[in-house]
Amino acid sequence: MAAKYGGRLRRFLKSRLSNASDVPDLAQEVFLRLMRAPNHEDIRSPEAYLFTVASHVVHQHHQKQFTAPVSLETIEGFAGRHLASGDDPTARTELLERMAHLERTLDQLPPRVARSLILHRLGGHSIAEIASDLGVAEITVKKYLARALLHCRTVGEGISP
Amino acid sequence: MTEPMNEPLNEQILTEASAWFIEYRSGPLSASAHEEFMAWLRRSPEHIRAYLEVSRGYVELPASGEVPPPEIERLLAKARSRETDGVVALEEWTPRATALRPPPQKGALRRRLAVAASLFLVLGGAVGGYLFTQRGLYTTGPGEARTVTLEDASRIELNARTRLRVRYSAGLREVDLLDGQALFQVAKDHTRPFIVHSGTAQVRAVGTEFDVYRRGPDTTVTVLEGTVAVVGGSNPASDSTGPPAAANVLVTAGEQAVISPQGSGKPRAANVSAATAWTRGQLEFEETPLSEVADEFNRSSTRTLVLKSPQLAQMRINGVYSSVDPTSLILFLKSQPDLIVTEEGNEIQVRAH
Repeated sequence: MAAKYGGRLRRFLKSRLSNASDVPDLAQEVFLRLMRAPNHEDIRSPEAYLFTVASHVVHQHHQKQFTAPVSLETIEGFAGRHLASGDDPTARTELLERMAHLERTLDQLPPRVARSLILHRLGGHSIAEIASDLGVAEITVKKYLARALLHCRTVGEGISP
Repeated sequence: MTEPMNEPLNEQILTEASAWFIEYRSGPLSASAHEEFMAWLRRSPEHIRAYLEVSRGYVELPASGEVPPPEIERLLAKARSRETDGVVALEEWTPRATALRPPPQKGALRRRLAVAASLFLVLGGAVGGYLFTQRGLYTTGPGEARTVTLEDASRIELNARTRLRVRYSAGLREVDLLDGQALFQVAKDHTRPFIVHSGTAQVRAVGTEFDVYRRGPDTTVTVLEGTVAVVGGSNPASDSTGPPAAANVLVTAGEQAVISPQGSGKPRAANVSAATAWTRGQLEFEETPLSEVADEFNRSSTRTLVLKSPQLAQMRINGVYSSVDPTSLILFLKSQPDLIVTEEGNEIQVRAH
């Protein structure tokens, strides 16, 4: 379940935030909008809300002449538009690069942290399943994964565009 | 512009961002956890930046379903061997309290991966069989986009509401654009010309990238890279079995030509970005008549935009809208003081004041 959601999340972030880096004050603008959000305690998933607001800021930044109002949508609304076909050579090259990057990252991580990340992200296993496979508590797996995530970001710097 | 986007983020905030991100991947969160996270986000722009960066790092990782199970198994084995060899002993990452616990069901996940591996093969075969029975016919519905890679590594990206048929033979690569719009990236092969038939137009290319848009009797060809030869005329796509006899018009990169049943127009400089905006999930309009805007909208939406006042057809529209989320255009139209926009069932009706 976590992995299925991960795939959708990836497509969403790729398509909506792919040129986020050329929006210089993205975080600032998203922050202001979050502060202005009325009844923020009613927001069902603040994470989905964050991604939606961020994607709108990116979208509006790239609009040239108008700032057309944009309706709010959830992650699910955008997902699934681009169905990546398995035989797409560009996607395959990109996947190979991402795989190489992952392997470099894994090699630098403690073995159990690496295993947790593989089982979670590539294997699509739940935290509970990984905890039982590794013989550790679920909270430990979460710590491993958070640690791995931090490291991915460091290794990724200067590699991914 | 002074936003410190490239300055290093605070390590503490990043650590918290990663922890929250994993919480969100762990399963449904309680209302109080959502609230706590919202409060965390609202602490500073730095927190937001950290969370977005961590999210991007995660989505760049290959996901389940993208990687064949044997490859996953290889990576797991590699990590396991490091663990037992003691080559990298990083004990600080093994919390003492849990390290002593016996590892139950070791290898259970490995068996499941093996099952997944066999499923992968079965599904692969089934998908191949499905495509084969379609005999080269590819279609998309409203708001749908699809990319097809052909046996020669040429790529076709289909816009919404598009139908095309691929006919490859030993000496010729042919595609019939039956309806709609597609972007072609043609793999170089001088021995097998690549020809797109669209209405009365034939577009011939070797190794190049171009967009073909069939609208009623007209076909618009926009070239992104290389050169294509366009033949107009009156023979319909269905009875053209061989390559066209002569090239009428050469269209080169950055140019566009419109071919109608009466013949081919002269190539002119094109707004390539606008012609291919659909590949980026956008509708891009530059002094575009509202009637054309309505056509484009209706293609990407399951609802229909109807112009009720004839004088509106010539109203000019500018701007970039999302084709994935057509409501952005509706909201824009609603904000125009000269227009009245009403929604009736599946129809969005636009009138002049």
